[in-house]
Amino acid sequence: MTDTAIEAAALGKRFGGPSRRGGWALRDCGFRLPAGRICAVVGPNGAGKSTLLAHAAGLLEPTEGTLTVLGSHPSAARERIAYVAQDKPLYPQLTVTETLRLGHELNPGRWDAALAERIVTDGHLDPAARIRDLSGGQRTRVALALVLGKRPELLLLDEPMADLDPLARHQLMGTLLAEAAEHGTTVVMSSHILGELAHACDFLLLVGDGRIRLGGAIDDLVAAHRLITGRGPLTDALAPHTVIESRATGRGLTALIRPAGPIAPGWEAAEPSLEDILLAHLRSPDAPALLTPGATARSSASDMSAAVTA
Amino acid sequence: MVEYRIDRRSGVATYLQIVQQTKQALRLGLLEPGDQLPTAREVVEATAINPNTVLKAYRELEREGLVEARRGLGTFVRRALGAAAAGSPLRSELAAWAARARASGLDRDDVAALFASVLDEQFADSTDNTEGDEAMNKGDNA
Amino acid sequence: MSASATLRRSSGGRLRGPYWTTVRLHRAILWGALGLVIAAAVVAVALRVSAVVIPEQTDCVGACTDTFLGFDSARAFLGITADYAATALLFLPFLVGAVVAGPVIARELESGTHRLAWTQSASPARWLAAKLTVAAVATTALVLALVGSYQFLRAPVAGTYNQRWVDRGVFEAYGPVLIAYCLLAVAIGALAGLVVRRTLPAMAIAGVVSLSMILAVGSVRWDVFPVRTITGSGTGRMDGTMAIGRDSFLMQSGYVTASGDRLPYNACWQRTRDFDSCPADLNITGWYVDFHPHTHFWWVTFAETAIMLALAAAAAWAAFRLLRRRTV
Repeated sequence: MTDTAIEAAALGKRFGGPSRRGGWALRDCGFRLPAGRICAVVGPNGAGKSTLLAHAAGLLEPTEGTLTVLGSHPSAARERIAYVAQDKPLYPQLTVTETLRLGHELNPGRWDAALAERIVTDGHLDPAARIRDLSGGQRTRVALALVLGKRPELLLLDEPMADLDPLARHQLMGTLLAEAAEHGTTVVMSSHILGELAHACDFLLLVGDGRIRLGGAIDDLVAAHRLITGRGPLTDALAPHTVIESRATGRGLTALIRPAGPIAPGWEAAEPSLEDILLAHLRSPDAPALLTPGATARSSASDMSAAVTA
Repeated sequence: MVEYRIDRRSGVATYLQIVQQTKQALRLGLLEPGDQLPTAREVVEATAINPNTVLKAYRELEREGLVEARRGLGTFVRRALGAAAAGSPLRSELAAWAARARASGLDRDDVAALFASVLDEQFADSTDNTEGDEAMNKGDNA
Repeated sequence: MSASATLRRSSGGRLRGPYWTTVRLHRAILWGALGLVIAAAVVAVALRVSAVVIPEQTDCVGACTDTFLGFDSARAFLGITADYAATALLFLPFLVGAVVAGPVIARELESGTHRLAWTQSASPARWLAAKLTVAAVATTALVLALVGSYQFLRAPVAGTYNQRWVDRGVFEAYGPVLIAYCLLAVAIGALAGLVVRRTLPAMAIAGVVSLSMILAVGSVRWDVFPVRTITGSGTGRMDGTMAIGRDSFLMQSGYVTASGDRLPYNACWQRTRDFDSCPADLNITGWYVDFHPHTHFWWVTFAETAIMLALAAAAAWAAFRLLRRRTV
């Protein structure tokens, strides 16, 4: 089994005809997600999160660049990937039981009926109820039962928890992570807010304007930034570092930096929270991108094309 | 069996909360040598936090010699923490100090800030920092 | 075993994978088709029985009194129904094309459920293959059942006016040709559904294209297929039209001149008001008759069925190709 769940190189996707200007949903998007991670894909609405996930699910063909999933072309990894789109598509005319039967029929040899049924039962769903009669949260639960029952190696969830009440959200996230912990599943969850994902995830991809702006293990990303506060002259203190954002606080200055050497004396440096880092990057769209070494695409273009044609 | 409660707004790293709550349980006698810690799967299912966070906390406890992972069986307590239990001399000294602080006009927040700053000063060298160590398999401790 | 029992057993027990899914998802449509079959069979049997049980009045003088639901007789009603039924069968490709394009294919793309279907272990190609297979099998069964009912209904009036083998609807309703057009409609429906991706527009386009095929080809069918010609000497044109027999389909008849030109059938009549006496200046040396003998039925049936099945295969291939470009 490969140690890489998803790897993208110069990935670009343009919707609409070539004549339309600026139709790029993704552009020059490159990163590597190691296997076994719980990854949050965050970014503002329209940043390209859903497009990225749909590519990994094998539903979209890149306009340019390449994307490999579990070491192969997404279509070759179909059995090992599960995907829930943002609107949780299910067949409205089927009952809950029939929907799980569908999962069994379309995933022969992989299907874990007991697990799928337990997830549905935990939500006190009537197995004979039709999907069209379920609430949004109940539908999310059935959709998650369907993908977890497939026992995927890579689970792609587009805004998975948006429709759930806090209790169901906590419970389903617990179930999801417990399954991931037991089977080593890689999970990718997108959200426009970090919220509870911060505690569930250990890997982060910040998407902005169709590109990866931050990528890496959350610990590494936090370690790569410092929140400094002080009163000294701005340029001297900040000169060698990459400044993401600086703001006046009282008589002094607070800045989020990526240190490139020792921090000038007289400045107080603190470890920022993940939220500090995200907010600073969202407020500063021109800040340079950062991919930690573990999150950088490794394959050369020729390796990737070999995987595509294989 | 200990049950972890994760405070998402405390600002304390999640793995440290698990470490601290385990130590607290050891101090209070809720966990004794030979007891089994919940599996990573159980913790994750109950708290909806990242599995690697639980493993990181357990590794930290293991590094401190408090627990040991037995392959295929789980994580077990090796030794108890007996210091500073209720009724110890240190506690009564602290209680007396807090009473003096209050009498001198400090409110609760002032006392907490003072205490925290002294803690930072005295324990500055023991800041936990266990970064990296990528090569772990979540399946192992589950 | 009844058709309904077949449907229930096959959807419950034996079908697997995408085939089970397809049958379950479109159960309502399959039940609707079964209802259509049953209704057609009931009408056919009822009219045949009525035609026997309620005989025509033959002893009345002048206008007979209405004897059957306002028609001259039960048999007359049967004949009219058979005429309309032949025409109605020409609309089957419209129905089949619209149903496959809309509810079966485009609705998935419109509502987004294709993103569920296409991310299972069974590939998108198998998804489409299952839809096409189930639609083709159900369509064939539907057409066979309706054609069977129709043939049973028309037996007493077969060969009468509007019920000859060459007539619109009647020709197709012998079986193979109509099945081929409906299978073409299945493929057109799949292609239209994948291209248009919206339920109602896809239904309209696939329905109209499928219907246009059967109507357009039907209107040129006997002109395109090579006729057989017989000729004779003299001006007895009518001898020729009599010679081809009742079973044949007369396309054109007229006179042949000394120079070899053909003149229309009324060339003499226009001048002499008599078909058999022709002016000498026309230089008529004989007559000709272009016609389709009954054996052409089989040739045209074979050729038209083959062409439509080839077109259906091409449309299905295009649908698979488009699907492959849509996904990765």
